[in-house]
Amino acid sequence: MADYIIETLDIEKIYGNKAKTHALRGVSLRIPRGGFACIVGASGHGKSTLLQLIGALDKPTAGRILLEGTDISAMNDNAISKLRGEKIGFVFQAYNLLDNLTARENIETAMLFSSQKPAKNRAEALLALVGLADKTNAKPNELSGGQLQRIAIARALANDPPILLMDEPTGNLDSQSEQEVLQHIFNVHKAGKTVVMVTHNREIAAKAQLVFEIHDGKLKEGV
Amino acid sequence: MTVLKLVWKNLLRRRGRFAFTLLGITIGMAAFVALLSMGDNLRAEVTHQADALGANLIVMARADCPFINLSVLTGDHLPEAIPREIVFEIAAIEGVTGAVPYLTVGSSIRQVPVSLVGILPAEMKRHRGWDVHAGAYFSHQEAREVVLGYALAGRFELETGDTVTLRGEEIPIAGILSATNSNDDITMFMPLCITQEIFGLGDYVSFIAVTVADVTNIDRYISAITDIANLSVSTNEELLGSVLLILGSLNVTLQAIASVALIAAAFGIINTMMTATYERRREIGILRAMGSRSGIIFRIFVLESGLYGLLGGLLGFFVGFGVSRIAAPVISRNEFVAVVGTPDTAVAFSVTLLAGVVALSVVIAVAAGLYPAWKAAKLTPMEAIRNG
Repeated sequence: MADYIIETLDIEKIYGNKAKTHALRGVSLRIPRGGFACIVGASGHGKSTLLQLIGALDKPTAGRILLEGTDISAMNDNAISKLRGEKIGFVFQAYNLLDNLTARENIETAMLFSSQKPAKNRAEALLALVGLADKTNAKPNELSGGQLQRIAIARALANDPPILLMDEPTGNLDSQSEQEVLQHIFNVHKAGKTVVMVTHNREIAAKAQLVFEIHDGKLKEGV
Repeated sequence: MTVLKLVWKNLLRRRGRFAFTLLGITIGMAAFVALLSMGDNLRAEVTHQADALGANLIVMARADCPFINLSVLTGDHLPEAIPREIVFEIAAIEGVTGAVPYLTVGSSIRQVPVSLVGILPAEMKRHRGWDVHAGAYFSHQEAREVVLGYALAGRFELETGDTVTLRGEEIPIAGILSATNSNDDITMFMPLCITQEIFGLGDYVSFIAVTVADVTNIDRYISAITDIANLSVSTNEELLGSVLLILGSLNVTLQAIASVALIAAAFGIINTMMTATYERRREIGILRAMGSRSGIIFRIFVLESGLYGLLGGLLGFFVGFGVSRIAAPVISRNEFVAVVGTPDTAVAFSVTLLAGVVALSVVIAVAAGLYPAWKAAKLTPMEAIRNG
């Protein structure tokens, strides 16, 4: 029996009270541990919403989400926060680094919310992993888009989570930076992490083991 | 990285806003410290002045309003309503060891109001235990000269041999008293009969300070004095009590002013923290996405406002302390509140006061930060990221 680290069971997501927007309609998918999955589709069809629900940043209106076999839909805020801190690493399109902190401090901050103590050495090792050992004390406004996204990847790895969720991680990058960042993402996956990436880019999706196409809130499974 | 370091970096992110918010709480706490110190100082000084009177009983004309009691201590002008022969009658009561008359007159030196007290020189020197700093004491009971308090002479740079003008008459300064740390230091003294003559007053006095042999039998003396004439007799404690009652009202007023300053500072913190909550929604979302519980977000914002309180309390204490030291002598030059003290009087530094002020400041700041912190903690990760 396959070991699925992520499972969604018939999830629905409706935004708004009066003017309702049906973002997801009965989406069910399964991603095996160590897999590399891409979620593709046109803008506004529910890709990011699906990723956010998998990442426990939001709750589904209906259906269940299992992470490592545990139903997160019924968890309280504290338990979900703990789960996010220890099991999931996020990489956003807009990097979302804290502007007033250095590269190293951004990574250390992520460690504040897990059971492991913030460690300067580990933060520096992660920066070295993404090729930015010399940018330890650089602030976000001193770095390029590609560098910012590599720091975001290092931050996502801060607590050594088994799952990395990435929302258009190369969407804001030029082609050279995109290739660099993708290489780091592939490296992370090879190291054993489960990677789920939302992307517009079919070429990137073609390199994934699993591709889920979302259209109008519904899932079409591809290859 | 620690939560505290994160908080500190957040505070310093907008240095201008940080400085102005800190300034708000600093000014609030400084006003609080300065006004309360002055109030406490006033109370301590009144107690000191009452002790300095050295009397067991104060005899005044009846039906004067209670506020007149304050004038006894400030040396302000009092009605000259007690016939002088009453002094002799009181002195003759068995067990009365002293009956010292005071005639308080409003006067001035170089158009600045100054208290002038008409006294019996020999009795007064014995009663108050004065020493002479410069020159000589009154040469006799009816000498046409004045003796100045130490601080008064210093303030007007007057020396022995100089003169003061009273009702157009040049009166020589016979001597200057040594400092007593009481109201005597800012008072001008002249023999009673000369004061009555120059100011065209009859043979009346303003009040009489009476000392008795047996303080446990004070009611008997009061009864004996009131048998002589329809006079108001207060014990030293009663006099002090009624003055402190008046000062209590003054203290409440000062506290109210200080409270307004503190409330304004608290709203400054609320405003800053609400703005921070709004501006940092994206950051809150990022922290939540990284695994921060809503309780930690709450703690971060409360710590930020608490740090404003801690720093504002410390700065406010020292600023307020400095202001009260500078202001007390200036205020004491106003005759009405002369009782605040002599120019040497200053607010005493107290670690307890410092700790109390800082604790109060932190409590106010934390209370002010609760609502913004609750608003920040209530944001869901997606609300924060989407709207940030």
